[in-house]
Amino acid sequence: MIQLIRFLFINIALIITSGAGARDLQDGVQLHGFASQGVASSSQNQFNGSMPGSAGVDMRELGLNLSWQAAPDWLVSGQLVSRWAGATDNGTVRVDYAFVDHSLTDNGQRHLGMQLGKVKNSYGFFNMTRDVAHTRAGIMLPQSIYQDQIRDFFLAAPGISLHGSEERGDSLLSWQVSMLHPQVNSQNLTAYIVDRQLGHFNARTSMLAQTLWEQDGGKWRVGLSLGQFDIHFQPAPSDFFGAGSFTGAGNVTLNTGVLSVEHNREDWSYTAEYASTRQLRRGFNVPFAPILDKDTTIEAYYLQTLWRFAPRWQALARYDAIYLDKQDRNGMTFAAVTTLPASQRYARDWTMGLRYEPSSIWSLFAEIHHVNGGAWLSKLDNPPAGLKSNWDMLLLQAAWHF
Amino acid sequence: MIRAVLFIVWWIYAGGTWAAEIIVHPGVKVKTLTVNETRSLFGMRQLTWPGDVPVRVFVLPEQHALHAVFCREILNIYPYQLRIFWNRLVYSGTGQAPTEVATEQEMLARVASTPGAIGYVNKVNSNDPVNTISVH
Repeated sequence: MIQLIRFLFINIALIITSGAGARDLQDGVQLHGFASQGVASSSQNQFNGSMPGSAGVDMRELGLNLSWQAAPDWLVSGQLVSRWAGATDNGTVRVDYAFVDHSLTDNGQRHLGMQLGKVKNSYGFFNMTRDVAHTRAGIMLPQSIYQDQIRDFFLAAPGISLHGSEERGDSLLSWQVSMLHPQVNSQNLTAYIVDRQLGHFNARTSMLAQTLWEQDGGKWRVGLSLGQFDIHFQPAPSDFFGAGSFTGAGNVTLNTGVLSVEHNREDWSYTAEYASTRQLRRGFNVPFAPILDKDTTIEAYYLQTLWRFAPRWQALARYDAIYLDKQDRNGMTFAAVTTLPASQRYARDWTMGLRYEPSSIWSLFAEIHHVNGGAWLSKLDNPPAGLKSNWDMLLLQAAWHF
Repeated sequence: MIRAVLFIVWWIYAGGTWAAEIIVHPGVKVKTLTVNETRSLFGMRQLTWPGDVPVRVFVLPEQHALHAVFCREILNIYPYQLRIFWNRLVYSGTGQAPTEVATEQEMLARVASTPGAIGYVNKVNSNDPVNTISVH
């Protein structure tokens, strides 16, 4: 173990001092990594350590991965990630993925393979590499679909996955089906689904599937992701003002789907994704909060344009919207029932951003957000009662990778 | 309009100079590839040659003029798409990146000396110790 750490340390030091890119350690073994640091300044509400009048720097991502192509049909890979994001992530090192991929058949046009281990979840266009700054169009992914509050659901999960692809003419059709056990014991998720309680969620075996069609080398890309996640709430005795001890533990089933479309041209890329998530809630039975057992449909979508207006430069414009209850978009019914702010039930975010790449391994980002609503803000950072509905944010970020 | 004028100026200036030819290790007996097959190889999806010889892919840096020509003329995609594709493989653990070399000379030397290697240069000389592949 010590030898491995020393080996990695020496190689990373070599990469940093030589300014080199990807590192082939030996035949079939590659080492890659990334690091980013951001600064957030918000006019209202808290985001990644920011407070009105003071900037926040709790925006950091570090990652290191190793992959070993043991044979053309066997790949072993793993990645460690450490991330800081306000109260939602504190830098704990976690295994982002670790799996074995075996190719069952591959005849050039048709491929079939399987993965076993902790596998990244294929959800929408960007979930698989969501914590890697230089793979994102801007500093933040559109929070409507890639919400950080429920990231634990979607990041990666232990399970088994079948994947395949087929080429016909100029088209490439690829697909993946996973049976997984989501890792949902997180304060963020608890706060999101049942507000701040001491209890926790346990997962049951869940399914996720994605199919992706690409035309002409990716000039057009269309994807459909479908998932069913089952989770079970285990309340602490003090939860729901003491009602936790005599109420039944709740079950939540999330049936979610994302439709993704992208068109890539030389200087412009256009991306749109639409997600609909049906929440089925049963068995909370908290007398003063019947809303915990209310089924709702979350609706989320964004439209995004990227403009590569000069070499190394890129501009971003995006409109991103989420409604936690499609039947109550402005949150007024929710506010009337709970006396909590309506603005925690929706968010509409206008984003403008710039990206500059001084070299192939560095990216510098700046972006401004004008937001109405706080549905995707962490409840750990922003207790709902104090939420402000109209707010602006400036974000800066430097990202490095090899 | 400005773009068209710039392109014509570039074409007059560079016309005939920047073309890309695909080269492979002399042990690779494939003579022709389709655009899709070439995309699969450089997209790190096709990992073996006929006969199960592992493919080793070499590329120039994205900023290199020849890389842009190779992407447009041979693969018919934009360089940024290839980079996004490699990033997705590398940072989700589902694949590996190609090996980047700094110059055409290094490309030629590495492809000539690595079994299963594929890469590209501007022009192959008759005495270069590599095979060429035509893409149609």
